[in-house]
Amino acid sequence: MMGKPIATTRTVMGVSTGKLAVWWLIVSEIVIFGGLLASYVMHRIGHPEWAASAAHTDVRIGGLNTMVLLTSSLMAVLAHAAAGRGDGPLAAKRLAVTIGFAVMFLCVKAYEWTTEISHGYTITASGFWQFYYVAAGIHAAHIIAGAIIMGFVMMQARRNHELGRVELIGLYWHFVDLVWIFLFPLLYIAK
Amino acid sequence: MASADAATHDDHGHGNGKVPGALRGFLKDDHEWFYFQTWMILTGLFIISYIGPFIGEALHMFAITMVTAFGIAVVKAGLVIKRFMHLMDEPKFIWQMNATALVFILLFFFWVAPDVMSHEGANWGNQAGASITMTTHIEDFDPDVVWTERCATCHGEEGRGDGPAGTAIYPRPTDFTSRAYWATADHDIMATAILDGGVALGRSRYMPAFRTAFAAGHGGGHEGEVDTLPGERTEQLIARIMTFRPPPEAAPAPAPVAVPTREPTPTPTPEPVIDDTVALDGYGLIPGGEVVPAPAPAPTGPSEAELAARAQYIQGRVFN
Repeated sequence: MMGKPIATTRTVMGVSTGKLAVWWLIVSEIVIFGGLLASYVMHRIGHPEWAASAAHTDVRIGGLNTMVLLTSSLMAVLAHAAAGRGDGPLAAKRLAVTIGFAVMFLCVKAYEWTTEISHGYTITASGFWQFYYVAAGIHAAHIIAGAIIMGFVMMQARRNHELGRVELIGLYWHFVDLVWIFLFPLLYIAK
Repeated sequence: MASADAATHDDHGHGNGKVPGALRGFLKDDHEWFYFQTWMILTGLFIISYIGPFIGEALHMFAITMVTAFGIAVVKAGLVIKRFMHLMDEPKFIWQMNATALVFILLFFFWVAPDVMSHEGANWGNQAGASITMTTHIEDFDPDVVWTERCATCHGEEGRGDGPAGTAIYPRPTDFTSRAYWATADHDIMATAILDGGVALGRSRYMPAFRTAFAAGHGGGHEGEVDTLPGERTEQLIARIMTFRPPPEAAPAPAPVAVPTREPTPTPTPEPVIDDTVALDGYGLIPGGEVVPAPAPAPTGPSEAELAARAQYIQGRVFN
């Protein structure tokens, strides 16, 4: 047992401590993103004038990133399936593809923000843009963090080590996808 | 080695579909085919949620937008939670933890939203939001009422830019009693500011857009619909705003002209007739306004000093 991370070897109430920690993390993230989105919804309803700002978000770019994240979620769950069969190298390959989608998401996001900022829609332009940059920015930070952690898990999985962690990072990744599923209609469709 | 948790989720018999031949190199078993099918469903739902709002807008049915955008988002989230995250396969306390967090968010929303969504409180007000909301229901357009209820909150009842909300924002709302403003006022700029807001002119973002509010029918017009009402109402509002234009400055008395005793006294020239309505054409405010020519000067003509004084007077009437 020496040198073996305890989170993958000990269970509590039928759940590995590692997975329990990830679920706790997700619960806290629900409060963070839930509070942010709930605040946005109530302010958006109370500020009909925000529609003028919301009209400038690009639904095509938001849609593209939605598909990128949905597909990355598919690759993450397929990596989990491969890890479940004990096929670490295949799980690692699929995690690598997932990371690729994460990078693609960030590149699209960078292009989108550059365009918007160059047109004067900065974080100080209006209340709408403040929410827009904060919500999308925090989400993008989660993408970056997830991709980095996924890189470490991928390197271990390639050697068939700690395959249980493939599911853990997958859980986190699906949650990040879940947040975007709600951000997309809120920021891009509700004009 | 895979953990026990990682292996258990795929053992719940998600469908019995077989992997199509073209995908066998990519999907290794029926469970993976199940995930792929889920992804295809999510993609289909995404396409509906993408197209739905456009259809809703074309048909002027807001409900379609709401259902396709947010209703489908909930369905997509449910699929991800159930089929990708396997939440239902976890012990009950896991989803109870998540549900508790959601309940607190809902409590937060319903406790706070009534205040946040309101347009005024004991010590604050959301003038822009209130203005937009109120004007969306204008049918019997009265420029005086619109000015008082919508514009005066920022511009002030007398148009001095000192309304209760105007004193709290920067840049300050336009002072329509300022000669400096009218010296450069332009009809098209005023119309654009009213219809499309200050943002459309690169000016104050606090000046809301009234195009939708002035459109025909409840809730305003719709994109692509030819609606001349906003333009007509804007003209009425501009005419109302023009009542704040300050009167012309008193013309300076013409400088005394030394008249040589040996020369005949010039015949007094009548003052040029300046019609205020015509004078406004100098601001571009009355399209098609015509200049009323001044009476022909007496044959003997004024001196150069008198002409200069008169030009200064006319300039004062027209441009200030």
